[in-house]
Amino acid sequence: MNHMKPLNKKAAALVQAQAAPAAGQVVTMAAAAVGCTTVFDPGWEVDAFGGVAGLCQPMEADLYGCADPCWWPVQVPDTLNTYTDWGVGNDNAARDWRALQAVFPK
Amino acid sequence: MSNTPCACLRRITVAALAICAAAGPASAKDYLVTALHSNKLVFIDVAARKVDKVYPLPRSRPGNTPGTLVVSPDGKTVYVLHNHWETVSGIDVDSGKEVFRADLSTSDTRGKCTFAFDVSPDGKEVAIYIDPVKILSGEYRVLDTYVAIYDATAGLSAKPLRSFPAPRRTTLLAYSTDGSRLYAMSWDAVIMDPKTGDVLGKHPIRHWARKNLGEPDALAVWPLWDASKILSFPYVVARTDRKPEAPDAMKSGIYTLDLATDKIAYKEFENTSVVLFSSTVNPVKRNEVYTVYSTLSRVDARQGKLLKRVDLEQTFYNVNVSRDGKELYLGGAGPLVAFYDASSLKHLQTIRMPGDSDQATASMRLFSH
Amino acid sequence: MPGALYLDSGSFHDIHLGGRRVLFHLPTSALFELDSVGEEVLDFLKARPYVTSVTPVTAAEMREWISARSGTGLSPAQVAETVEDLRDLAILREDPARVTPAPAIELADHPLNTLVLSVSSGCNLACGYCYKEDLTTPGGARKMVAETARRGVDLLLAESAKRAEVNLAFLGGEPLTNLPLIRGIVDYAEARCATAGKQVNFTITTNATLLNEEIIDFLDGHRFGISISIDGPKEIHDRRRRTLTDQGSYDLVAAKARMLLARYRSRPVGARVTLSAGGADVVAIHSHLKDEMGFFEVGFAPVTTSQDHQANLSPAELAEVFAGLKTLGRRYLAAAIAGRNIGFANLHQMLAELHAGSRKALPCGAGVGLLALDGQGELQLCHRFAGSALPAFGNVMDGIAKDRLRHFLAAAADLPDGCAVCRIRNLCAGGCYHESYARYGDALAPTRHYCELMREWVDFGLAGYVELLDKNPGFFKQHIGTRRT
Repeated sequence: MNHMKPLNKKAAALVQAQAAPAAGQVVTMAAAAVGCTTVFDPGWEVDAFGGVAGLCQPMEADLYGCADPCWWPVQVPDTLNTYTDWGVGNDNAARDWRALQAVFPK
Repeated sequence: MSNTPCACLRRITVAALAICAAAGPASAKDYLVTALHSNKLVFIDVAARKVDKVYPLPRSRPGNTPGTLVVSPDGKTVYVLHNHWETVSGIDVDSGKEVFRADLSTSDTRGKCTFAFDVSPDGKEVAIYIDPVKILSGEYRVLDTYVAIYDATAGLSAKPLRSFPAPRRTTLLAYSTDGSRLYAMSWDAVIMDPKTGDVLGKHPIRHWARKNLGEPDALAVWPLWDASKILSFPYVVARTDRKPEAPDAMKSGIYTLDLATDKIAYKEFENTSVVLFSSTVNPVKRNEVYTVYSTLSRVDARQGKLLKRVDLEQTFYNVNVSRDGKELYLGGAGPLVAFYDASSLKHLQTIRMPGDSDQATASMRLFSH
Repeated sequence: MPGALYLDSGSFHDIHLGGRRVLFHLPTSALFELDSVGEEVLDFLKARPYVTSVTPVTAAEMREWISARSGTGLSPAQVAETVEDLRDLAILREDPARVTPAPAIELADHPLNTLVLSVSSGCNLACGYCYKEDLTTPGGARKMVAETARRGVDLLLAESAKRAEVNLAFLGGEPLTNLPLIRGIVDYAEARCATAGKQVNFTITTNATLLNEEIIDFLDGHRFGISISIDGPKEIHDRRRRTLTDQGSYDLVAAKARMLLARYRSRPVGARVTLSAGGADVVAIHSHLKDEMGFFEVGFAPVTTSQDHQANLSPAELAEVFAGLKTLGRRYLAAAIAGRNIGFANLHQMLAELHAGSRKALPCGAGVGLLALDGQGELQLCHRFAGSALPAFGNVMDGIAKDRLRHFLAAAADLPDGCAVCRIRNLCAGGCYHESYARYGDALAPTRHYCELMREWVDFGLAGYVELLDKNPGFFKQHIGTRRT
């Protein structure tokens, strides 16, 4: 759309459907080494250097340390507010991780 | 031996005196205190290197590990942030009874403390940083962050004496050793008057504006200044005058804030090569700092040199140091507490927490009792 | 540009709004703002007396116009771009515009997701204007039996296809006069839905008189969405909402509502106001219910009874109602600009629809996604038709009469000529079936008694939408994006 600006979602959808895909600009964040993974990482599978040596040893030792303060916004349930019972009784992550269940939104 | 009553009495008295002399006056011992995912407070006898007392946290929903711990100056009470960051309780060390409780949430407002609370050096006031959100019937409304000051003797339904605004993203509160300043470690270190809340000044961290260096990435959430009274944390910073692939593109350093003198110092000591989570300053050799994560390092923070580094059996989040600067205590993350020699970094002993429970982000404090 | 282009003037509605020119594209409900170039071109096209859907504008005429305007900063390229924009929206077309036939409503595309259970024909009040054709006193009530309700739940699940969530609404008469059934069906529905892997959502509209703490806690425990039927402050409410002994019910209803509002935690509670003759001060009613009593939001609906009924709003009162809606609307917008939602459900809902660009071929979900079940086990378009003379669309034993329903919906979507060119046809879509049925005896007759008022109301909403988007766009994300349209 050249001379018409979308004002609602339907209009934005129409414009997007017509627009040629623009070359996206992807900028990688400089590796933030403090806190072993950035908050966008899939979990704690890979450290800032691309390996696992920089991660928590064993990596499960990091689970509650990172999950409790919501370091990862998506990858584990939010035990501060929404799924407060998630790890109850499973106090040693390296030993008990198998008992931890996935959660589903209500 | 005579059997007269007087002689018996004398013997008993001597014996009694002997017992008394052997025991001596009640002497203070060093303890470490940490907390567990199983929602317990654990005291460790430092000399014996053994778990001494374990207390369950009172009226506390489990499922989120207790966070910051602060010991009262007289060593009698341990204050702990628990209950999903919504309660600060004071636990009597001897009995395990709850003697202080500040609940930060009300019926319509959820208040959480993000690690940041401290006890004044005279033991009379507890400063708690609160991040509140109002829960309305159709929306959440984020409110402004603030510090609430409580009377430490206020008992189990403590309400604030006063409160004042505090910067967002504060992860540590620290009183100066004379109690006249309250530091809020946010993007920068903001200095407040704990009586009035007036902002007295600021020490830059994010905004340090150093030539050829970017903003430091720092994680200041563990209060580990028990021996030295110097607040310190490791940081990582990018060099803006280097290509990203250069070996010295990222530097690791130590930032210190002296809680007595208000002086700050920061210096890089190596090209970033390992993750560092927390640090503590040697009270006797104050240029020496120990920093930890999956390795334990001894750093000359003044000169900016790595002196020694050893691998650890497991990751530890926090490191504390004895008052004589000779021993290091590693805690946090998993279920272990480890003892190390401070100068040689030789591993002395490791003990396991009850139930093998992880410590996660609980801070481990050192105190005398 | 090809030789000639036709302007489909029935496909858009443009308005001047405080210095901006906004275009509402009717086929899609997309909303655009024209820049100065777009505005000029559109004005040119609209001004040409013979440019209509049957007489085109030619390339030669456009060139002539452009050269007449040369030196004023409007270039051929810009005009060409705007023509392109308008062609993308089929506002400019290569063939004359025809009234597009109504889209066929494929029932399979709209699985049942909501069942309204009319659990009792009895009510413990005797509101003067009640639409319920088969209303009785509690003593003479025909109560739905558990068996019928269970079959209804089974039907809902069977017809809900892949829908992850289903809704059960409880109405009546007064639904709380048949509380044992509600309790039983809540349990049954939760169990069946758990097995089916679906979520069930409960709602209830009640006159509040029978609430007590235990019942409130029961509703809270199952996260019921609650609407309280209350008409405003005492003098307005008591005009028509009378008890069986002809006393005003306000004192009791208000006390119960306050108790509910103080106690209820799981979801916001709304007030549902029926506007009737003599009691249509919209602003005062909202203020009382929202500010003084504490309801989360207030929704207004005009009374729907037959043409002669004394409760009906006269044309003058109807105009007054819409004026009141606009006054309240201005308050709502001022608050929204300041970041607050003052709970005016009608405008809030319209803003949500404008924001999403909702395009409705039918006035509501009745028959598509929603059906009502009455005590006899008969399936109706919605709860207002439960127990009415309108022939049912099936029953719980034999299932939904899909052919009849499809036939009805196709007729409903096929708007009469008067509606086909109306600029709000895709938001109004002919209006509430029950209003039409009550007033004209024909569910498919459009609600002509307030066409012009409704068009003005939508214009008001459009203007409010654009202003709010300009002054506090964050309001949409926080308060409107979360509302289901």
